[in-house]
Amino acid sequence: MAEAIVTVEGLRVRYALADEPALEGVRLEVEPGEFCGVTGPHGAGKSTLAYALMGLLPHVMRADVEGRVRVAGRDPIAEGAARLAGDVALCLQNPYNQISGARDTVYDEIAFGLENLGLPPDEIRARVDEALARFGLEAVAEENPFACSGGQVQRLAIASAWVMRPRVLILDEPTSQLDPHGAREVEAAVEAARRQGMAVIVIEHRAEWLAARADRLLVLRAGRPVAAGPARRLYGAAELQEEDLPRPVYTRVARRVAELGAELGGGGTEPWPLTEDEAVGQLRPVVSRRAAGSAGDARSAGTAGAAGGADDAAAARPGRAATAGAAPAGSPSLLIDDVHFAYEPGRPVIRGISTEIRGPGVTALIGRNGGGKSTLLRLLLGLVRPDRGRVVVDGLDTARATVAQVARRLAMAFQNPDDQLFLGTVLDEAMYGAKNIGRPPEAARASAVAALEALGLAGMAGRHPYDLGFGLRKLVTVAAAVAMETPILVLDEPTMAQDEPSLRRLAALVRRLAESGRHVLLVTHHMEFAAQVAERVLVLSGGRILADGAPEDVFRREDVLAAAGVEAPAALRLARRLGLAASPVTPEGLCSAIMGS
Amino acid sequence: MRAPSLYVPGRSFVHRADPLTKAAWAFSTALAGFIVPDWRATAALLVLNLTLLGLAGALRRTARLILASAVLVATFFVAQGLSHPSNAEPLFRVFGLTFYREGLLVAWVLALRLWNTIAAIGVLVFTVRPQDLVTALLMRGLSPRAGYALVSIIQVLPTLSASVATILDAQRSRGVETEGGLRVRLRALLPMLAPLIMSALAAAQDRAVALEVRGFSRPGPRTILRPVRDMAGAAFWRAVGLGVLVAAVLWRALGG
Amino acid sequence: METRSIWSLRLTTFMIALIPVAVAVNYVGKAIAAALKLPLWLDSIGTVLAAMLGGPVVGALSGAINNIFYGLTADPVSFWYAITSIFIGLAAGYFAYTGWVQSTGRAIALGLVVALVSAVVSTPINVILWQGTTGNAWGDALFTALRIHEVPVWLASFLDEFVVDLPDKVITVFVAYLVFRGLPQRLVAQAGARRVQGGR
Ligand SMILES: Nc1ncnc2c1ncn2[C@@H]1O[C@H](COP(=O)(O)OP(=O)(O)OP(=O)(O)O)[C@@H](O)[C@H]1O
Ligand SMILES: [Mg+2]
Repeated sequence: MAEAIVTVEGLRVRYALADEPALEGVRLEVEPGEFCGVTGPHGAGKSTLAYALMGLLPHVMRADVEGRVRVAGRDPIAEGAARLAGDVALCLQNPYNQISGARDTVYDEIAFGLENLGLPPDEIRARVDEALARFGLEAVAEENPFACSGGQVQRLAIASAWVMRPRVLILDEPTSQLDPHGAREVEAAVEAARRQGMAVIVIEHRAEWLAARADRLLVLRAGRPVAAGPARRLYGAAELQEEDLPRPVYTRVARRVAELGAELGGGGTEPWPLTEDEAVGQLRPVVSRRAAGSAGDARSAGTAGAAGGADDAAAARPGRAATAGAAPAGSPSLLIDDVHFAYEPGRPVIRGISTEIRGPGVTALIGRNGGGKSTLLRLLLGLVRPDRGRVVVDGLDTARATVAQVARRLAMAFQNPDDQLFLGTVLDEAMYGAKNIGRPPEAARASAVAALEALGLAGMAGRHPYDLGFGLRKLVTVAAAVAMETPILVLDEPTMAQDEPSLRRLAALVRRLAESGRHVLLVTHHMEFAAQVAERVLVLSGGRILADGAPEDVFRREDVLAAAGVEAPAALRLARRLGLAASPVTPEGLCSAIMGS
Repeated sequence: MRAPSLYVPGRSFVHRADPLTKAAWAFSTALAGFIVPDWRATAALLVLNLTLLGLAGALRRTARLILASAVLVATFFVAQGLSHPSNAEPLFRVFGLTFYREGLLVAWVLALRLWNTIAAIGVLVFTVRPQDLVTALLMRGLSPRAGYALVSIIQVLPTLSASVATILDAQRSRGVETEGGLRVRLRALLPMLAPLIMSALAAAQDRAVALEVRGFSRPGPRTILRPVRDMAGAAFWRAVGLGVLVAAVLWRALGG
Repeated sequence: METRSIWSLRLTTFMIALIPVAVAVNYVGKAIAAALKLPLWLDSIGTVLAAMLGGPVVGALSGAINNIFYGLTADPVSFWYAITSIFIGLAAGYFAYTGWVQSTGRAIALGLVVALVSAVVSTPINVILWQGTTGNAWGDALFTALRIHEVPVWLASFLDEFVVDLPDKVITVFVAYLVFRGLPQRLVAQAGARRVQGGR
């Protein structure tokens, strides 16, 4: 076993103003060249661990710190971040905040840290050129960092850290603010850094990435270690809850199939598949055996038809009946009638959209960044008015109403929570909109409390929103929109930076709202989530609607997805590779499809 | 939004002069304009600076700045023309107010000094990127931390301005009224400003971490990757600039 | 972290990072006031807030850098008034650190102090540079009326500046106070400010 480059023993951190420790009893060892994943629900102490490793505690943030920490032969707690620079590097969640602001081109930004180290100019240039190449930033070398895309900026942050040749690189939720395309770019960048023999510690919620890449995992919950060890072992450990360590879709499907009595390929049931390739390897034998079996037994094939899986999943979703039938009086309605819009003349952003939402339910709006989603949302609220056509929200034409009037019918949680949070407590924030649109304070408070509760924030009502992490702040703004109790609710990227328990609560809440007669419009890049909760999917690209229909029908259309720059849900991709005739979009649907094949 | 800037790109003789030389010239002649006892000398400095700006191709933008100062200049003429203590000789009456020759002359001098300030400092700001000025100062021993505080505004300000529109949208969608009586508009101030400031401060916390990681607080010398070199004869030109100031002071002390 | 003297010149990196934000907030505050059509400048909210958070040294630096930046990028005359901004930052920071941001009443008193400091420091600049006027129509009308009645130039110029500064700085400080009061404790502590618990 190689010499560990990170060792943590008995680490305990209590922040200056806190009663409880944020971290206790943490042990960790990471070797050079290893990818160590750190995961766990909100407030688990993941970021706190990163701060401790970087020497920010107690030097930059006040805290009591106990325990032994060694990183790259240094003692971060005694020495502090400033002296660790060059040996250890940390990149935080928001890519744009990682830019120093000291330089105005990508090239100079990467060079900034090297200038601080006092290296000779020739060496600086050589290293920067290498970093540009390694992280695919040559094309933007002379651009202003703030003009780059989120994925590019996060790669720039990693490149700027990497170029200082730290021996340990720590990334705190580096992909949580990015779309899947940006996330993929960052994943490649991390791989590039690791190939150099750097130890990489990644704090992350998404199981797919960790399962595919991590050598080692640390799972935290509420400041305590829940499990630690080789990633493959932990993903296979039955006693570890999904809430603590969410498994990738592949593992979940394989497990479920095994539980249903099928024998997986590739020997026994362990290890479970962690990647798509592994899943295909283990599930293909099941599918071919089933197919062979059912050919000889027509009756068993008839019990669960190929499309049955998809229908089961759809039946579990709410609102299906309501949308199919006529909308009951007083139920949500939204009419978008031949809407055109351009910010500048001659450059249309929305190019003739017509669609209608009637009755309760859940609709997902998907499509690549820049496809017009945000503009469409602004049109819905009347923040901008159509150049042609009309938007009618619950009988109210937005062109003839104030934003405040529309807000009584349609509440929206914007993408970035930090664009709206400003009050001193979570509860005040959650009831602010409801009060503003004229609901009595008592009623506003009651709905705010209920919404917070539904999202697992009940215990945080009295805290300052900015004392919570980004993911929780995001949930606070979702709760605030829910508490406005409007017939239509629009959530922009609600799954951003969410942990597994929050994803589940969010899905349950969205369904419940639809059942209670409201319509929820989700804008999301999270296709699994969309497939799970929505009964209708709208694909927006180039300012037009490319497809509109049930998830099973829309996600099947590869041409549409390609044009809109989105990927089908993992379950469907897996089904294709397994050669299934059905198009299941959820893991449950996929299991039934496999078992029925 | 882009960062505000007065810089006019160019390759003129004025552009090629190094930042510190131009700074010495700009501040010396701006001050000298106030010190010289004769307004014709101020006018001469103004013409000189305008000539330099003409060479640099920045006359039009200078004119815009001078126009922007029109209110200030107007108040000179009104206030001094009506009320300067030396007023003796009435020149004209409007709306029952008498304007005096002496006061208007004082106002004329003040206007010349203002315009000379704008033109003198314009020679610096129209032809130097603030980044280069700071680099030049860093090479003269300005602390990197102070340099950072100044230069990073150029990057931070546009990000803040960009979020104003989104914040406005987000708050209006929560029922915040931004139009109406003065009270309504005053009440909108906090929901607009507070999210902006809070997120900017949170970003500053992150940025402080990013800076630490990049060795910002490390003791020891820094490399300057893109040094700003002094022009040929920089010492001479700086001496000329300072000479103007010294001459003005001497003239005032001995003569005027 | 040891406790620092409020006049310490050793600034933490966060304090340094605070300065550009303060200047940007000055800019944007002014733009928002204009967008809301408020009859105020509100162009020093950032300086005052930085002073409340980081103390007089950070306040003074924010003020100085504000005017230098403004002078370089928008209005050359702004250089001459760097002194005023420095003193606004010093005063706001000193009094904020000695307990003047604990209640609404005191915040308004602090606004008065800042308005007074601003007017006192600007007066000699206005008198030396422009023989007393400020460029604000209302203030200068008052100045002219006072001068016609032979009020001394220093007093007239002071009042000229003060009538404009009074509402502007009181509201500036008050807005900064409201924002400061609403900031998370964690951030306030990191900046080094002492905010009395339960002071909201
Ligand atoms: N700088 C800080 N000062 C004081 N308390 C803090 C600080 N950072 C985090 N905490 C607190 O420490 C606890 C652990 O938080 P931490 O941010 O480390 O969790 P996390 O696992 O990163 O959560 P998330 O998934 O939301 O990012 C929380 O109670 C949090 O409020
Ligand atoms: Mg975190």
